[in-house]
Amino acid sequence: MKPPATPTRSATLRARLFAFGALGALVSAIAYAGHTTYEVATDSFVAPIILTPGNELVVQSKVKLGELSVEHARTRAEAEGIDADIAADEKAVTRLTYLRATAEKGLAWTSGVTGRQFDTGGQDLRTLANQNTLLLEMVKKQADLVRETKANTDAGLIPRADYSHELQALSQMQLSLLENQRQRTQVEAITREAALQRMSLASASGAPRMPEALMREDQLVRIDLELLHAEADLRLKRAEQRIEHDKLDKIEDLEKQLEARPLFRAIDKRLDVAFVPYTQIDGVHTGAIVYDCTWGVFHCKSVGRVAEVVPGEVVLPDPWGNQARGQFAVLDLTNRESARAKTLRVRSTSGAVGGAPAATPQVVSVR
Amino acid sequence: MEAFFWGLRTRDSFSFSWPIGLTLAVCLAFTQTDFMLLMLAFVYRRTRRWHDDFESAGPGVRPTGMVIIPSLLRNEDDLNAITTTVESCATNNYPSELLIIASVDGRTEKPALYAQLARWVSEQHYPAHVRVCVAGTETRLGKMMAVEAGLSFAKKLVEKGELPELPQIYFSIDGDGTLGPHALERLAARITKPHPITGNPRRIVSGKICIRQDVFWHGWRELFTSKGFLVINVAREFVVSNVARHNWKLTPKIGVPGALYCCWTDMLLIAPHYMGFMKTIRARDWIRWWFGAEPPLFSRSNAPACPEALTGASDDTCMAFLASISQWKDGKLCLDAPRTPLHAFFAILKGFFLERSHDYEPEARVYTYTPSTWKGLWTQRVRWNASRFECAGRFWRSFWFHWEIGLPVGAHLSMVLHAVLEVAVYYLLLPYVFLGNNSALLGYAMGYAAQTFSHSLYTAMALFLETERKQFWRVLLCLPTAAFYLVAVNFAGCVYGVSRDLFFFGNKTNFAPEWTMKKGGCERIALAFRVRRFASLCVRAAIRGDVPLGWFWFGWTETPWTPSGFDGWTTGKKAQSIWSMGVPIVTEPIIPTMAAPLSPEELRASLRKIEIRPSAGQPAAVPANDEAHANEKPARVA
Repeated sequence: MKPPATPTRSATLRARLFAFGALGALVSAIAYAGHTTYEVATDSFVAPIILTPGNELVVQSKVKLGELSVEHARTRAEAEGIDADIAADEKAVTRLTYLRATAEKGLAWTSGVTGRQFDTGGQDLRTLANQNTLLLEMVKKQADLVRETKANTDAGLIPRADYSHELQALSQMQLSLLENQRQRTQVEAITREAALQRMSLASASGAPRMPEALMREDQLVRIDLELLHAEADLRLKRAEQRIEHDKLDKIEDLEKQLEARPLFRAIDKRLDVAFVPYTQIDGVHTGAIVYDCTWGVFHCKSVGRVAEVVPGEVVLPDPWGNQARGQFAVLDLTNRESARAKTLRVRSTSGAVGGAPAATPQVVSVR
Repeated sequence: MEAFFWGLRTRDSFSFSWPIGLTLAVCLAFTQTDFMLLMLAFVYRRTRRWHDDFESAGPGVRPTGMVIIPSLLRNEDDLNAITTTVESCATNNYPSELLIIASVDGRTEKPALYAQLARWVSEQHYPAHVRVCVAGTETRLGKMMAVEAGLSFAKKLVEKGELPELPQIYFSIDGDGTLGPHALERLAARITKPHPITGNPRRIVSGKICIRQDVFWHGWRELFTSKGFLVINVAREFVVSNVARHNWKLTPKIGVPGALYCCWTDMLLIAPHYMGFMKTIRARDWIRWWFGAEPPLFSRSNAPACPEALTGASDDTCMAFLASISQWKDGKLCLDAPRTPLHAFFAILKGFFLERSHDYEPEARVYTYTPSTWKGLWTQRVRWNASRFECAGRFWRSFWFHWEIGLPVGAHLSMVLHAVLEVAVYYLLLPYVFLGNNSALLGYAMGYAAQTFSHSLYTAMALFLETERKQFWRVLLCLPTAAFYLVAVNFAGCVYGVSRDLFFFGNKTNFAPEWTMKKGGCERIALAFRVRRFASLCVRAAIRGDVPLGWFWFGWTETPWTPSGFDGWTTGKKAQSIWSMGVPIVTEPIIPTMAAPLSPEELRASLRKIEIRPSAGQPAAVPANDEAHANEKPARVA
């Protein structure tokens, strides 16, 4: 190849200018490409979603929240009903317990009375026995007196009237003796009954149960049964009460979570959020700057910041229809048109607030 | 992995099989139509009890033929390959005069071997009508330059009166091929057979490339070795790809196998001139053509010949393109552009539906070898696949007018070759459509199954159409690994080669030496190279200020300020830096030259009206068997 001819001055100048321009453009292009590549590699890609009150997801969320409120009210009513039942059961148990205690005291009283009756009967029997002995002696003496009077009457020693008088007196004594015997029999019967009652009350072996005792025991059993029923019912109600209260707590938690979700917040006003797949979540913090880029790569301009990373997992289709797991981030966009982009990029800043977003176990699947 | 087993266990057999069947049906309907049509034709022939009607003709009945065997001669293996091929051609029972020229690419590089070859030729005894000669280029210039050297040698024989005229038919065969029975005569019979509708002779006829059974099958044990895996897969690939040579697909065939094809010798004479002519075509010619002006006509062109432009990794494809471009006019091959765009459109219709340029003789076999190492096969496939883009680049000015070849080439390249499309269908489209993108492994398994199933079917059909199926049935054994082979070798080689040629610095295949490619004006797209050249020139222009503006800033070729993109491809030397170019005296590279081709006037005078006529009879004089000793030793090789 021949050595080149020296170009003219103007040709050199043109070429030099062109070369400077081209080199500048080339260096700029390379720098831009390098910078763009670095940012593409380090930025987090998120999928923006515009949530408005009329949004289907928002409406669904609203419906769900309504259903949850109804459930809340119903559960609360059930809990109150259970509280009332528990109060009634507690009162019943108290009364039954008192009644049982009273019934047990009545038996002791009966036992005491019976004991006293038995003791009194014994004393009566002893008195009557003494009286009987006395009456027998009196009758014997009176009979002897009658026989003596008769002999005297027959002997005419004394008038007949005396004899009749003595005889009547004997009869009177015999009558008294008979009366004594009758009383003794009566007292013995009473004493025996009292003894039996005492044995029955003392639960001696072989002793038959007295009907009153049986009745009283029956009453006690019934009271016990009632008491057991009441206590069981009380426990049941208390368990139900705990369940209802737990349910209420859960519903309230769920309501709080739902109310914290952007979908709920969007019930009242438009909200710009972004779906952040877990693979991109590390770079998304509160305060991170949001960029809107042409084709997701070029000509990026800042369009706002991340207002909040919403805890709780969501499962959503990404912009290309593939299901992905991630979280929502609420965006505070200065250019709200950017929310219509297919993807946005989030660049972590040094002044970003908060560390890694909290991952909560709740999973909300939005399909 | 979980997704793989989940999908494998939960999906029923239908959900797997019907996408595979659907893909196969689509492939058969659009890209493998020839299989279906050929099967129908085969069955029809069988029912009509049609058989191979070829009969060997008597002496002199076929046109005179010329076989040029271009080859390097680096070692004993090359020598043995050349002698085997010469022996095979000479004993192929071609009934008419046959000139066989073993053309060594770089005959002075191994003079001892060259002398040994010449001696061997002189010692052989062949039939009287077979003439064997040795020729070649002084130094290595590339395969097509070796062919040109052989042609020059034949012309000299004519000039000296040792040949009455140039043989009518040119047979191309590689230096490592062994012909099947009557292969040359079958090709000659096919190319002279008039077209059933137009009555024209055929323009170019492909032979069938086969891997010998003793090459691809060495028993079960070798089947499980790397070598066995590669050669049997290549053998299977050849069995299947030969079917496409029937040229019954929707789009016409755009290539011929360099291992064996034949065309008219005039085509070989025309080729360098047409390559030179294409350099004179400008975009404004094309624009004017659209507005009614006459297109640039090759028949009136005085552009110098440029045989170097034929050389490269795609020399056979160049000949195939020329055959597609050419038309028969008054019994002569004519490569003039269509008169108007309407004519160009009708040329498409003719080329697609009436008279296809490429024909095929399925019983003209050549048994060849294949690289049996991964590296060798990879290099070959990278070269094959990337060369199509490069060759299309050489002809793109011609495609502006010759739509009948531009359209199929464009379609072929827009698919980034069939291998890429196929893999994309099997491993991306099919799994994505039917499985979604959740299970890459399952998708790969489905793609593998689909590709294996399809290629099993293609192989079975190709074997069904193969008359020597008993010789090749063992290729069925490689079917389970065929999909892996296709992806690892064909697809990956294609992507690698095409990417390097299009986006990086080009493929250094070393198939043709750098000086020939430079002289031929070949270029590569090689975007990275051009960007680097542009940036380097910018730096030089900005600092030194001695570079004028020009399109060469984005170019490939050598200028006073830039080295050629081919620099160092053959020598391995580092190209001169742009910074130092033009300042010191640049050493002129030694570009070997060869005898000047015909001038355009001489070419036009030399083109003959093709008449199917017998050869002129037995040669009266015995030619020399060596160009160097042509005047000294009239040693008859008979």
